Amino acid sequence: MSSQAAVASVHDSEELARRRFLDDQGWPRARRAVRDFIRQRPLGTFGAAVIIVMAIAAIFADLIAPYGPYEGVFTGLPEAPSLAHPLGTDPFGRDVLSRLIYGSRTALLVGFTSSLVGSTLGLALGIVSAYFGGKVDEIVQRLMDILISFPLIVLAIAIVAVLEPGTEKVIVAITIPVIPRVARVTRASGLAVVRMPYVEAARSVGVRAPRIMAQHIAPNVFAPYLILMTAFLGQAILLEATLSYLGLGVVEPDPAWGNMLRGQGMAFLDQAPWLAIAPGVAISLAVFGFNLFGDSLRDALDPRLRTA
Amino acid sequence: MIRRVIPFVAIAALLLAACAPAGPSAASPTAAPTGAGTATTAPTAAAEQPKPGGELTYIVTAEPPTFDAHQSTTFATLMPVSPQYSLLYKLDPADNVSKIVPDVADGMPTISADKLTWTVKLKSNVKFHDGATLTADDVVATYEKLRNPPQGVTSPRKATLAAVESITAKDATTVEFKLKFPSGSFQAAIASPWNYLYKASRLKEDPTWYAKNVEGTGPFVFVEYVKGSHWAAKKNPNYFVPGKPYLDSLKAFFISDVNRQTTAIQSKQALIEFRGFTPQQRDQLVRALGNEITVQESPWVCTNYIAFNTKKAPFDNVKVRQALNLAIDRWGGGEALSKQTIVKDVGGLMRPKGPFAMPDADLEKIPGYYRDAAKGQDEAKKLLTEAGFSASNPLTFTFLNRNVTTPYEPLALFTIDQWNKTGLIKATHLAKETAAYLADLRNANFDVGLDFNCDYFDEPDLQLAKMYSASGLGKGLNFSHYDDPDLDKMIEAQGHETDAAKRKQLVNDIERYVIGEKAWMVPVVWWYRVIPYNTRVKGYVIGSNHYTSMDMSSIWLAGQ
Amino acid sequence: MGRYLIGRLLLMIPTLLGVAILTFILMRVVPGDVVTLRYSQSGSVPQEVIDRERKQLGLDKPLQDQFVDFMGQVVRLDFGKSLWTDRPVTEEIGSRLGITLELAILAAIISTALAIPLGVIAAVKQDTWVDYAVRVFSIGGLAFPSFWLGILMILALVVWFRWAPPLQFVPLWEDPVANLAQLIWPALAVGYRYSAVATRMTRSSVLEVLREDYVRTARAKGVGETLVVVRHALRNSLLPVITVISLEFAFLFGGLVVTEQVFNVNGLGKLLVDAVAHRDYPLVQAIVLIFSSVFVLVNFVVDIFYGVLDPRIRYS
Repeated sequence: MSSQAAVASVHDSEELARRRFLDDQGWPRARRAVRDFIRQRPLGTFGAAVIIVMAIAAIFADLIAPYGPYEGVFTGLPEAPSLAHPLGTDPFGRDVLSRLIYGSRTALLVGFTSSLVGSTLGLALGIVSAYFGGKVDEIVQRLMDILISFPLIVLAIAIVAVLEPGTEKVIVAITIPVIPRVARVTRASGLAVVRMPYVEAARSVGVRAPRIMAQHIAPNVFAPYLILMTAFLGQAILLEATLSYLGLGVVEPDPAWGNMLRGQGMAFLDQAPWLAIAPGVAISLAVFGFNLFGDSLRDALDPRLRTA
Repeated sequence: MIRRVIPFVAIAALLLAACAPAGPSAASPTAAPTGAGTATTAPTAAAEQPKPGGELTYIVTAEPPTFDAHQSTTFATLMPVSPQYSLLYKLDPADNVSKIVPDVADGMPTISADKLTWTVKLKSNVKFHDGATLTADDVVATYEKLRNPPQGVTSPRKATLAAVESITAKDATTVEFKLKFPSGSFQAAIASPWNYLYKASRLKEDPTWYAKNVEGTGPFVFVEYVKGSHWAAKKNPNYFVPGKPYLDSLKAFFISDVNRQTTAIQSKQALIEFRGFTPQQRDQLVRALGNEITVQESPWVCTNYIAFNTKKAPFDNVKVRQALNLAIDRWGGGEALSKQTIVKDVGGLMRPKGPFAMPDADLEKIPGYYRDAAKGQDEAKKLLTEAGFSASNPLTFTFLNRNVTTPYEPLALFTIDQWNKTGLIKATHLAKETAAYLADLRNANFDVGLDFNCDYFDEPDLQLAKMYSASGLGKGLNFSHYDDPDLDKMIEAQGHETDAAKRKQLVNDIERYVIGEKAWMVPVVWWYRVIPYNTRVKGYVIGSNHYTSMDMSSIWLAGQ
Repeated sequence: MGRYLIGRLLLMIPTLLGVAILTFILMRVVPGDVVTLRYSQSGSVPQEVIDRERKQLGLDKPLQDQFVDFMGQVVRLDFGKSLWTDRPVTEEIGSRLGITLELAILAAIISTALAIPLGVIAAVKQDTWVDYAVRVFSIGGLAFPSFWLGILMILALVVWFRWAPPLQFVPLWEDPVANLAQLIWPALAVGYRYSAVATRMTRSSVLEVLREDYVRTARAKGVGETLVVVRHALRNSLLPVITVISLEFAFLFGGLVVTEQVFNVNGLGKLLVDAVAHRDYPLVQAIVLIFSSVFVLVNFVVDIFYGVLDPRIRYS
């Protein structure tokens, strides 16, 4: 091939590549990414499906649920599953299915708020700690150690006892242990980034600290942050259940899965097992979903672990 | 793609199947428990002869904070510790409600004509576990500690002996009580399960010795206490009642988790629990063990009151309080609640079916106790409207409760539901942890709250003690925080009345006043005791409370 | 190296001090006290009785005075007496510490015994149904509420085998069968839960190592797959796994609280819940400090471990 023709063919293939790249932006690219995700990671897809179902139930509860969460004819005994009540009723005559649906609203609210707020605060603390180093790092680390090593139960009881019980207080009680755990991990990742030459360069040029932290460090610790957040979302739902078991969770008559297990649910285990199975399965499925999705997300974002 | 999905679907299915609980109930859920089982209020006095021998294993659901019953107010002390001690008088274990019989005393007391001097003779063969003989001095020292505790010692029930002027030992086996005024409750006071008899010399040395040590004259001798685990005792060979106790030994397991309690009895690790189980626990055990389980049930000297914070408007307005009282359908509620928790009977300020209870016909006339629930709701709405509330301006408040499932939670939910049904009330549930809940009640830091009271005896002096004026004798007891000098006089008057019939009349008048007229604090539904236990246990009669007859001297085991 | 160790050791002190102060603040800020609780059970206890007891226990002193007393006790390492039972705190904690420790160690052993083999299998058979099964199984540990699992476990034993775990604790050296018969069940429940993170860590760690050049070389040389995995991959992938397992042990300790309630194990966790409910300040302090110390100590040990293995950290 003559040199002219060779150059022309390279230009052509470059042009082709350029066109293909430009075409593959925006929605088509997103669709392809999702399709790849579904094809390659069935577990993650299952997890995502669970999350989506939960979200729909939470948002459209008023439309989907056959009954309200508080209404019921009080007869004193739970009713077995029937056509009118596919999952039966609890001892107060309230429809279990409806309460399960409204409960997903509480679960997502509690889970999302506490893991989002907790992870973000943890992220911020981790970055600050990694960037400034020295005394600041030591102090923040000590504080995080104190919080992490503190038994959750004492913290939860204290918080719920001081502030009056209710959903918001549960959120506070769950947010607090998330912060130091996220801070630790992001600090570790952040430390690696801080040592990078381009950060040194930015610092020496005079770029101000907040800008460096936001522009350079944050994006590099974003992956672990996202993964931790999905993991803690699942754990938050579980934590609410445990706190409810100890009487420190969401208060009756508000519907929450952990609430439904406590007391009446477990008491009727022998005669009306659906009261305990339904919320238990709901909780387990939700945590499963978030964890599976988070895992697959990590696999997808971490290039070293790709199979392809 | 499909090939990859199939195995994972199989796993998911397996998991979901594994999530189903164990037990036959999973296959065919029943709509309502059968509730079968011998439910008797007292076992038929069998012609069976008590057999000696065996170890009674029982469950106590909380640990004893102290061994000194004089200072304790919890069953957690009485259940493991009472077998080691004796009382002056006690409830007859075959009745366990109101019949008082001598324990260490030799016969019933001799009461002077003016009812101010009570002479008690003692049995002469009563020995402490270290061999020393119990004398009148010991009884005197014990009761002096109770009514006049020395520095550093608390006596929560000092007031029960308020009528006593002096106690003297006339001789080694005679004790004389001199009273300031004739007291209707004195016989019950000296039969109190809390009044363990201690040794005078020990009390003189160190009045707090009995808080951490055990040494009594009871049918069993202390063996060991492993904190958090169990309490063991063995038969006292020198017990002053020949032929008793029947059992060789006792073992009390401390189990706080409800499900673990049920499985302990279901697996026969323990034979009985003396406080009371829920209807569901009973049904589970009856279904699992059939006629190896006997069930005894009885009304309980325990109840919950609705306390109104009269220091806070609008609860200082009697119309508002009365409306809240009227809106509650007690008869229907009691019936429904009894299926899922430990309450049942409707009563006034005294235990239903007890010696001071008002007959139902009279009860139904008191506001809040109408059989016709609609009538109650209508009258409530009328009063609320008069007080200025409407659908657009409802009476809004929080209902303070304890975060305990049995029976507080269902009771509160039921009551709130009844109130909100009127359409003129908007009540929200506020369930707090016990310590915080108590602090709020005491400090008048609430709107309306669910209070409670438990006693060992049907005795108006005990049950009405809470109703005294909050700045007077009701301090720390009266959580509606009101002052009512007329009521104080009425309560005092019944306490000095010794004629049983007249006293009952006075007490019933107090009930009509407190609930019907003033609605100071109103009971919701009285508690109901259900004890499902292993049929091998004989000689136990449920009685009206969970404090008395805990010395186990009359219990024996059948079978092997 | 010595300086590094001493440095890390000294850092434990401010942490533990911080925990103690935080506990003090939390407990005092929370409403309610031990005296009202003690006399709340039955009958009528007049206010003066309660006031007198409060005074005796020093609970009526202003907060600053109480704090000064508290700091004094901390300095003298005097843990005081339980407000609920009036016995020395050390006596209350005594045997229960051993039980909780044994439970924690058993759970850690079970967790490791599950995690490592499962993690390796999942890594070797990556993206096959074996991998999926292992991942789903291991996440189950994180997903099922532990108290739910515990109650169902006991119910299953009682209904199917008419047998329940013994109620009484017998030390391991006295009667290992009875001891394990009681503790194996809660250990399983907790161990399963904590194997979840370790399994996934093992899997990803082994995966990483399997991509290393030296493994590729070994394979190219014709070494059998099993040998590759066991001799080369496993050994090198264990470091992060051990780290995770040790760190998880610290969290495990705190997580025993609910499990002990459900299985009625007479351990520190159950004691803590009761102590907090009773507002028994000295006891709460002591137990919280124990939990924190375990956590801090485990971290310290892991730090030393890393310092020994990775010289870069020692000299940073």
